[in-house]
Amino acid sequence: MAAYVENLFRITLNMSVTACVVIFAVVLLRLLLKKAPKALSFALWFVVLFRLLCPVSFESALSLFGLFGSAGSMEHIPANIGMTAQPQVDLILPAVTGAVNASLPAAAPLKSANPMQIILFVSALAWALGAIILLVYSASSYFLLMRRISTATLIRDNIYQTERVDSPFVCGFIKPRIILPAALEKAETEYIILHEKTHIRRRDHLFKPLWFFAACLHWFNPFVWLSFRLMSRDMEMSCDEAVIREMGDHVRADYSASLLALSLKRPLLSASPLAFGETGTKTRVKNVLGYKRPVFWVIAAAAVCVFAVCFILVSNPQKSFDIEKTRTDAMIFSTRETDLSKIGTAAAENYYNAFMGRGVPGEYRITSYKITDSELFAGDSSEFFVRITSDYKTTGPHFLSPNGNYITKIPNDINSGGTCEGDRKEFRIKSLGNGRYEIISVVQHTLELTLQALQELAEKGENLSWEDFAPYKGNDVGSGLTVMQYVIDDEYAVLIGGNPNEKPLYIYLIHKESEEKLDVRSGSVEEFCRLHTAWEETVPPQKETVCGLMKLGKNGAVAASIPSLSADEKTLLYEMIFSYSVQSAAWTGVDPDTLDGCYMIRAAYSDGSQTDYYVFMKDGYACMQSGKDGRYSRIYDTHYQALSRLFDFPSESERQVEEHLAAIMSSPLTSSNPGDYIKAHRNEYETILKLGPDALSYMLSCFENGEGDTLKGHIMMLLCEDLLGQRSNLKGQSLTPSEWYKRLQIRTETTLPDFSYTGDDPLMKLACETLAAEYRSGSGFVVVAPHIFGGYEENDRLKVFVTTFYSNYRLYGNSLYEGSAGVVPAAITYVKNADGGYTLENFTQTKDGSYFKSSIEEFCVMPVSGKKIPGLPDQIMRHYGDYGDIRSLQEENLKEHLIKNNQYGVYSVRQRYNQPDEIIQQLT
Amino acid sequence: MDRDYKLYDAEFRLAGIVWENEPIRSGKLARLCESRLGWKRTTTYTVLKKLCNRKILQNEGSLVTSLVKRGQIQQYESRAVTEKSFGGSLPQFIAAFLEGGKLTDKEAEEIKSLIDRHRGV
Repeated sequence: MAAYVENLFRITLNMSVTACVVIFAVVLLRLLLKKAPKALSFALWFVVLFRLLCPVSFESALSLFGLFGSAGSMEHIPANIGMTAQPQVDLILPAVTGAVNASLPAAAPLKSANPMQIILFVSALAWALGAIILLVYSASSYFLLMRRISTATLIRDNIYQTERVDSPFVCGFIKPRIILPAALEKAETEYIILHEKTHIRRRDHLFKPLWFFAACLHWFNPFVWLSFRLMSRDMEMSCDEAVIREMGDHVRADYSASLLALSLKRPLLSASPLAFGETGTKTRVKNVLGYKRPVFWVIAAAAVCVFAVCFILVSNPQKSFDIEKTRTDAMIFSTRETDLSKIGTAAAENYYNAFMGRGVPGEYRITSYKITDSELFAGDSSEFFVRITSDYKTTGPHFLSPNGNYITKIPNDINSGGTCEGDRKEFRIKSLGNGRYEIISVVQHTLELTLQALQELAEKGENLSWEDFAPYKGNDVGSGLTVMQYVIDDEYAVLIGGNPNEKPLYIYLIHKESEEKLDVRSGSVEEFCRLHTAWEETVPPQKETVCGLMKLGKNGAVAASIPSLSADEKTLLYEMIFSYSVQSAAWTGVDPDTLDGCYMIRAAYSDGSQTDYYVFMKDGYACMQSGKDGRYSRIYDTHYQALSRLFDFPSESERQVEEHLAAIMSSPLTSSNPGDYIKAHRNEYETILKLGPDALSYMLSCFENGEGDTLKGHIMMLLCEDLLGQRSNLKGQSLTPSEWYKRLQIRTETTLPDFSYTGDDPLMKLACETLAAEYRSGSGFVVVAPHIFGGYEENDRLKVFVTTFYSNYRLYGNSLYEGSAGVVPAAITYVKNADGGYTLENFTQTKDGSYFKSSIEEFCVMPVSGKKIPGLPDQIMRHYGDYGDIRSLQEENLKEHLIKNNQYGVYSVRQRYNQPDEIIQQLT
Repeated sequence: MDRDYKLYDAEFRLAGIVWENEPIRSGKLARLCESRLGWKRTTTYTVLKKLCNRKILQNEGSLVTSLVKRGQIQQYESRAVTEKSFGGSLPQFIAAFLEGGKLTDKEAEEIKSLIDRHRGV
């Protein structure tokens, strides 16, 4: 509603501005027409009324507004004024326009509404309110008047009399009545009735209320009210003149007296009804008294002038031809054809038709055209490319493309227009449904010359002419002589020299590197090329349908494929094939199997053949090649990126991580503590942990890609910490995810061998070897420190009694963490081999708790006979009460082991639950 | 009887028709007024009702008769009764702008002499 009012207001404003100009013109003309019959001045006001009420008009070259350089439309206040950054109006006079534009507020980008919008809105409302008040007020006055004159009594015909009014007027629209006041003299009555009848005859009783309505709409414009006043006066005066003309000059004095008499009686009068002695009594009296019957030819001449002026004032200036607009208009068309190449023909017809006709300036105008061929070469019914071959005649340079095949009307003057034959344009057409189509683009098809094409041309021999090369892209490199150069594949060029109006002096094919040349009219192109390059023939593509897209690895292994292509994806592939096909494949092809990876687009052609296009990166350029043994061209990087993005779907584990994260974040929602979310979804949390390194690397990549201090970030941080364990340098620290990720260093674990004894004691060496193997648990390494109580030999058995301090370690960076450790007495039984070595036969440890002592007594027996070894259990028990010796031995062994393995600056660190690690001591 | 029997023109015209044709059916009266005065039926009934209220006419069972005879009535002189006329149909400022105000005596005098001079010619 508000928009509707705003729009009406804008239209009214535009009409007001236009009308102002017309008003000024009319006021000036009235001065010239002072002596002429007033009917002529009166006629001029029709134009003003027209401009006040009708927002549109016909266009004419003779329009007054053409003088002001108005841009065709009579839009002084643009429709989008509320939206533009710097509002601009065009108020015809440059000075006024400048002042007004300077006062218009610019858009304030930070405010929610544009100030101009607010101004527009408020003034539109004020305008509508004012107009409505005026109209309602006038309408109600009119109905009051009707009631007042309801008791007017009929005199004759449509003439009524009542004492309730005191000046005569006409009222009513369809059946107008003349209302006379009661007391009138006989003579006066006659004039008055004649005057009012003239009003009715001229339809003034309709015209004036209409004018008043216009004035109400334009109530804000004082010039409109001024016009209304002048118009009323002209209306009355021309009416007066009509009466005098009919009744004769002698009534002038009496008529004037009546005017005076009536205006004396009457107070201020309304604007709406037509009243007799109404407006500008003195002026009217003077006019009546001074009235002379005009000579016919003067009236005729004046009438012609006024008519001409009306025409000038009514018409709008001619719109300037807008090439962009015309082109846009030409882009949408409808056709019932279903065959794509015929739709292409319809598109071309629609396009050319838009540039035909008188309205189109000569620069662009096409006078006739004939479409000779329409060839579909890519796409399907939703979007497709059609190559249109046509002949046409044009009157200007626009359609004589610099590389086209054309003959100018005046030699070498492109501005004279000319004839284009065999012009080729590529139309890209998109279906809008229901038989409507849009031309997305029209590309002038200029071919790049290829060796194949040259060879075909060369068959003409001596008849080969300049025109044969016109469809190809080339440039004039000559000075004096015309020398056209056509580049072929970077390797070759064709040079044609001579006078363009005569037979070429030479047509050379030049091999750039060797600078050897051949006049193609006499020599064999194929032979020449064989000497210089591998000659091959490629079949130009026909219309195709994309039927597959794959990502290939080395040796053509299919790494991924997209089974069904969406419309968007197809469009991309068509575009790629299209832009490839319009380029000359300049480089000798590569074998796709030798590439580390490439993409393959498979296209099926209407003749049943297939072509595979390979897309790959070579020397930092995106390239596309037709077939395994075809040549390749560089293609747009954007195309390549878009293609590779088609294969960017997430891996299974990434998808799972995201899914479970989403589940974790789904509730309780009321909490801001990530722990609460994890607690509520323990299972999902554990599932992510189980995904292990895949989940870890994915989540770290999320942080790398900017995941910050969100709930997701917090949860992922906790997951990462759990997955990293000791590898995180930040374990247990309370940090925000972004800070955490910034400071995170993932430590790698250093794997060391288990401790081995380096001393000379063979028993010790044997024991250490066995103990390390026994006490080693999990990954990491173990260090053992045994106290040997003795080795007892019996037959081929050796039994060693030992209490061992052992400890498992893991080394992350320079932090050494202690794992499982213990002090355990044990008995180890070996079998002595024939070569003097020992093989482990049995390893017996003490049992726990109440069995501890008895288990020692149990294993303190001889290896074969099983006889008790007296005193040994006591010895072991006593030592177990104070094992300080192996404790320090363990420490020594650890240090020695680290140094032996080149680990310096190692700290022993104790991990604590939910707290940073505690450094205990430096070991090396 | 000090009653005011002065009638306006329209009222006088209606009363005149009643005097000529009384007793007269109100329907017939409306038809007569329509043809002679150019009135709508509603106008006739409005004026009739007004005159009945003033006890000049009476309308009983849609038969209209006069209570006061023609000789007792005089018509108001035609004069300016339209002080309030329809001068108010436009806001005063617009009217003033359009008409340039009321004709002053001086202006009227000037116009009069213009006309007289023309007559003299």
